[in-house]
Amino acid sequence: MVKKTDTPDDMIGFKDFIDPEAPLPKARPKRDTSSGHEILTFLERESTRLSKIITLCEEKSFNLKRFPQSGKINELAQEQLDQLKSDMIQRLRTKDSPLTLNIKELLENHFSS
Amino acid sequence: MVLPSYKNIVINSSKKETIYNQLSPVKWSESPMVLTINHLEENQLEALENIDLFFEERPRKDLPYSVYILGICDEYTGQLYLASEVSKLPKFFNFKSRALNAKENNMMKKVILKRANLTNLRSSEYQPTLNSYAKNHRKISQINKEIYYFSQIKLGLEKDNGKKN
Repeated sequence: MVKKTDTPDDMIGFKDFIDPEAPLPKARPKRDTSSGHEILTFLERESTRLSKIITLCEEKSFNLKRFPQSGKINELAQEQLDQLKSDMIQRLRTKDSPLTLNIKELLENHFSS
Repeated sequence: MVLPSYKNIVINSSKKETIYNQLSPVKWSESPMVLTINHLEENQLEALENIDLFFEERPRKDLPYSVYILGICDEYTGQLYLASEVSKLPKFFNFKSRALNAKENNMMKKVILKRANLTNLRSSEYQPTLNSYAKNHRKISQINKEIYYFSQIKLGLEKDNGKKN
């Protein structure tokens, strides 16, 4: 069995190539690219945001221009409002409505004395 | 590659020439800009008016990135976004920039490509449509608020009638 020894004799022949005093090459300072995935997540969101803006400006604005709906919606909402107002007036015009009763009470208090 | 986080520009003076010299070389489409004027004290309104004038003379798209002003001026009634503190700015772009790794670089290239696409779009083609859409929807919202107000009154009247009967 061969016994392993770390005697200096083992280095014979290699000593010329080894310079014990040569300084070790300095390790490059590592760039801080450690992800907390914060920037990657931001970039993904930013990419999605830009895609949405592009879709809005290119496709949706084109569709809005060709098939405008706001006019019709506006008309329907206005009709509903007018209907509601006329209903309200009808209700408030009755003799026993709170508005009529209040005005009646007010006038009576004011002119009765 | 520069990440699109806030870039701060400290306005040196409220004078028109200084502002024009400072703002002329800025690339507005690369990242959101914060123009700091709160150190100008009582000259902030003058600075804001001159910044407004600058953007009137050299129209700038609000897309993809906007411009924010950091200052306090109650008298200002223009269209620029004025905030008193950094914390009041949108948080989305508020982070520290650093060197990117390979994966982030790839994603950044995508973002740059989309940004270029957006910058190349003609605002005259979509802006009037979006403006009229917004105007109409404000009108619809106003009408709906009125509808809600009157329907609440109607509900009250119905309840009142129910009690009487």
